[in-house]
Amino acid sequence: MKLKTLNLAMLMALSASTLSLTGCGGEDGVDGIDSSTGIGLTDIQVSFAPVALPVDSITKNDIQFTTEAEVTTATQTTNLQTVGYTKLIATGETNNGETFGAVKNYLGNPIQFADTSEYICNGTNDGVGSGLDHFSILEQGDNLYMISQFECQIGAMYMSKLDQDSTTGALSVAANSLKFIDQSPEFGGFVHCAGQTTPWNSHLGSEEYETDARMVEADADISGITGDKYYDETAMFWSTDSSKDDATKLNPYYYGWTPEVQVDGSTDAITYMKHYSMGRFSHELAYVMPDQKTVYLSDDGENVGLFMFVADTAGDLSVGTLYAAKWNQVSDAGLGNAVMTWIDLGHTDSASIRAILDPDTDITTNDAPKFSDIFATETPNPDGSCPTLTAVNTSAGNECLQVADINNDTFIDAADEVIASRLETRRYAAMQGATTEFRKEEGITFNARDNKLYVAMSEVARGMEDNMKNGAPETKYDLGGNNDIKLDYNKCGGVYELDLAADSTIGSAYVAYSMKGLIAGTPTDYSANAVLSANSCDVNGISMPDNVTFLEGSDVLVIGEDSSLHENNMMWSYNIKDKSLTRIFTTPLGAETTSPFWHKDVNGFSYMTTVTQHPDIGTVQNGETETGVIGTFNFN
Amino acid sequence: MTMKHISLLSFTSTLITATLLTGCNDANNVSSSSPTKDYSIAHPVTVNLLNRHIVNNDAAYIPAQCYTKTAGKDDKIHNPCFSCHTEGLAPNYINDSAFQMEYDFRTYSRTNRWSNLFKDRSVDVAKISDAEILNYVRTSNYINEKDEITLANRLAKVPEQWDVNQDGKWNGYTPDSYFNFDQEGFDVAPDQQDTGWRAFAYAPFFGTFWPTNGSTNDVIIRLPETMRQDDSGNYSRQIYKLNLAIVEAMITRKNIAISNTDEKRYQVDLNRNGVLDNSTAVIYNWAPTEGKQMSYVGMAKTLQQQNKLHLAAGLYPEGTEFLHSVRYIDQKENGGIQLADRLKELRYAKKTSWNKYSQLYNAAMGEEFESTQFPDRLRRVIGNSEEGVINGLGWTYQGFIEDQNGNLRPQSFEESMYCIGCHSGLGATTDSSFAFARKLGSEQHQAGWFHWTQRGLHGVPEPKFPDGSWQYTEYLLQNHSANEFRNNEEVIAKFFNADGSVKNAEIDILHNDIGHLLLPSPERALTLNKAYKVIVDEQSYIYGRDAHVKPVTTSWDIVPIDEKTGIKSPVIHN
Repeated sequence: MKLKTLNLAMLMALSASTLSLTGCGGEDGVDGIDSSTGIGLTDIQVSFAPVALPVDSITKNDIQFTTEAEVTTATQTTNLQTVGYTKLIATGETNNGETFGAVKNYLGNPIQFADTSEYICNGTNDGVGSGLDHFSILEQGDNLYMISQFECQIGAMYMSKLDQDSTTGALSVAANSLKFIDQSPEFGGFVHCAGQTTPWNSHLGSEEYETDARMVEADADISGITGDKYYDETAMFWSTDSSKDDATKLNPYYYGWTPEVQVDGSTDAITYMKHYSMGRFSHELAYVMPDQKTVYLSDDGENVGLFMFVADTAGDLSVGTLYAAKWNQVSDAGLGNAVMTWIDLGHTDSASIRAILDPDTDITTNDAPKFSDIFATETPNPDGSCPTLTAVNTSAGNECLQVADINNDTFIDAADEVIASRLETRRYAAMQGATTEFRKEEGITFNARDNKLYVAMSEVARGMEDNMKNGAPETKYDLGGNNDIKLDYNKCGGVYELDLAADSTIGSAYVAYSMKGLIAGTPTDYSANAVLSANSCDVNGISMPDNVTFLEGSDVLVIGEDSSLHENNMMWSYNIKDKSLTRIFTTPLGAETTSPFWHKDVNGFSYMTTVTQHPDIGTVQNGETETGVIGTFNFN
Repeated sequence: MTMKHISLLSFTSTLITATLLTGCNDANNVSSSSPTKDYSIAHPVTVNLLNRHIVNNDAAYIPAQCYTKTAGKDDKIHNPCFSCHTEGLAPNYINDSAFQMEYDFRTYSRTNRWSNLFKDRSVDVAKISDAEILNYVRTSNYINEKDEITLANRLAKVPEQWDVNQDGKWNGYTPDSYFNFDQEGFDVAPDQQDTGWRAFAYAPFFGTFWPTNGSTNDVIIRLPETMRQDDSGNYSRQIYKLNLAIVEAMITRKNIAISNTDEKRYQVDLNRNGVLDNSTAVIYNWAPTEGKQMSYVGMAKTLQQQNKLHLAAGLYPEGTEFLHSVRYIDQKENGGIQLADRLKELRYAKKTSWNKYSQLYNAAMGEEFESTQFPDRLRRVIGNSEEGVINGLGWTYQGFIEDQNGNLRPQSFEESMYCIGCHSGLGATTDSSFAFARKLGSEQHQAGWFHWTQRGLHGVPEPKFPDGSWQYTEYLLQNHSANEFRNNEEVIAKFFNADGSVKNAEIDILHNDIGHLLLPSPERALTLNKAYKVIVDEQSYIYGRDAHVKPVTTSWDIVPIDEKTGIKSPVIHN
């Protein structure tokens, strides 16, 4: 373990921001919480009956879940609550004439293949393929709504109503309520990953794995096809059939944003928007803080950043300032420890950025910029530096960049900078000195009582190492970059804890000033163990954490996995005080646990949502991705 | 031939696609370990069939051939890669042609764990006499003297050490072909009933599958029982033949000649002329989005209408089975070679579920997505020794292999993983398989419905790619050799001049007789048989099952990071 003192540059960086460390983070709550959101900080004690490690074919091939929780609240003496798992809907099921997960083109028509089959974001009967990732439960008016988002290269979203049994709280999808959400006014959707039910009860989604626009410009042929299947597939959205020979309507800058779905509880009317204001990168999750202005944004991939958006107006994410994090490392022990500073990427609004993407306000004409409209480039020197421009190292590797005259007003000025900051957020942030070395940043959740943010990191690798790849020497992830993060490789990943404080310069009560390891997975060699040899992280610990959700007012941080290093993916209840870890859910073989999210008070009932994604054929779920809830709890 | 421009940036994602990874152990600390096991003393490998424990290779689905060093002497570039890694024809949505240019292994799989490749078997091979090996390969380990299937007898009382779920029953495939084919290629049981299996002749796939490189092979097909039945559910060979012709048309996307058939009897317009009349061909004319449908006949027609049985170009109906025997090489009295009675392996495949085009598309794209997110994640193979392994695209695979005494036994899970690398994630396959799409056409002997024991490879003309080029000639030109390991000196001497150019006179012969290339000399056959017998004695299949005497020198033991093959642009023949 090496401890370093803060260096001068870091201190300067810190001083640029006006942190207020007093009066925050205490047990007595945090300024800025809107009481109208219903977030209470009453103390809840919860412990769950553990689920055993699946070791036989029966438990490995089915969902296992905790059946009992011991709960104590301000109004409840200690009591045992029996809970169950309730399936809501699986991909491919039909309701109201719609097929859950069917993908449609820009005209709203199903995408039909040569055998007349329609494209459902659901893979094969054997469970191979993409599918549903997240669903939100929204309370609007007297209604409960479920918004589901699908993780295919042509994204899809569906809304349904939920029926709630007034006695038991049991949830079910209402008959004849499933509706396709038309995303075409904002160029359609793309690889929707995790999401959040915002404090104002809307669905905040994500578009993951934005395509490298530089690659598109270099590789696209006359029909816009690049040879990159990941990008080319989206051409089908812009086609009238399943052909993807014509990508001329497709532009990489259309995707990689944060969509929001709002529902009117009196009319069921859907409002769909994309928050171009919050930047374009590989959005895993956008997580709104209780002030309804501050949003943390995780970036899932290789050599990625961590971002924060502060809206001008609570509940309106379309206007505000975007910030990128800088990791100022203090310790390399374990998952590391750093002082976090924030780099201002500029203030703008969604309408202004949308006007750059679609100047003629006709989505079917591809008049968005090209990469070379955003940046001038040159070839880096062998040592990663640049002859004249600014050297960066991001998911696109080592590059030399300079912001161009994007708006063609003959000046390269702040107006161009702010466009670059949104269309090419990660590259632009790196140019400003932000850290773009994180590796597979995943879920985010918030503990209001202690004023802590939790961020999952699927693995500590590559850019997060010091000129290494998976423990072996490799310079390419740090070449020409800051090499801010210098940690030891951990393939099992971990969850970080970020301390927050009010920052008057930034204008938010929730600005992270430190980031340190909370809990790490432990690489474990089971190769000689015939029963456990398909695992290579400690089976009694976390492995490649993915989505996380904190039960407000308790000590319970739930951590879900998307791991190849545990044979069955698991969800854990981690007690942040006594550091105990309880296995509360396991998925069937092949499945990932996505979408855990606590809904603490839905008409007096509490649930945790889950999605079991891509279970194997032969499991009880037999290949189908399904949504469900664990409950009903009572935490009130 | 289409050559698609693919930039370097796009490779990384395109390449990774091919391996259809769904994740498994990713040990990253292995690059320092030596892959070469010491087999100077041949300890038999202990095989445990009851668990899924991986002894040697978590990436056993990647065959040894993929570790070939493409750069040869004088930096000459050899491209055997194009055989498998190409642009698939929908609904095979895999385009892995970029693998021709870059190895792009994962951290774990950069290490070649097929360490048998590096073994010198000279001493062991020398201990086996010609008479001994000939006697061995001529002794059937499949059919006994009472015309019973030996392995089926054994499975009827499943040994405890084979019974994964310990239920006292065998839950996998029980061999039921007698390899007793009549003049239409149908397998006939001792009770004179059709078993449903039908042999077909095909142009063997490239390299490894040529007898000159180690083994003789056959493949037979069986459609589900309902496709062999008339409307009343009675077996009808005539209906079965028609349905096989229809499947052949759907797989090859060609018209298939049939004997003169009265369409009225089946109420299906086979020749697609708009009226029910007499037909001499199944005309391939399928475009359902344009209203052009095709139909099976008999009971299958009804089931198809009820959506219980499916028909689509490039796909087999659910329930289709293949049986593929891999055999030693026997020699005829007159010096030619033939299939041995002894099986090295019996490989079985069954289509257990139907996937629509859109599902197969999503699967291909989902793998792309997975590989982008988890570039070090290995493929997780589902299944076990008893029930077989699945490829994720609707097929289950199961294999039987010789035990130390030469009797067939189920393959272990790790041995079974070997099936999956070739039967998924490749551009070259048709609905995950190889042979039937390469079936000899109706102009050939018995319209291509015969078994290699009935007529051999001699006289079979060289197949052509759709673009008209000669397939095997192209392989020789691209690979400058006859197999991936480039250790077949016999073919090299026969087909190549000293300067590396091909001998045109030999190529001319090849065009009309693939046996000229594909069949080894009897002497070579004996040597290959002995080399493989050494592996059987060791039971060391998990370290590689390729027959060679001297160590292979053209394989990487550890593929360098970012290693390129030296092939500048992919060879694609669609």
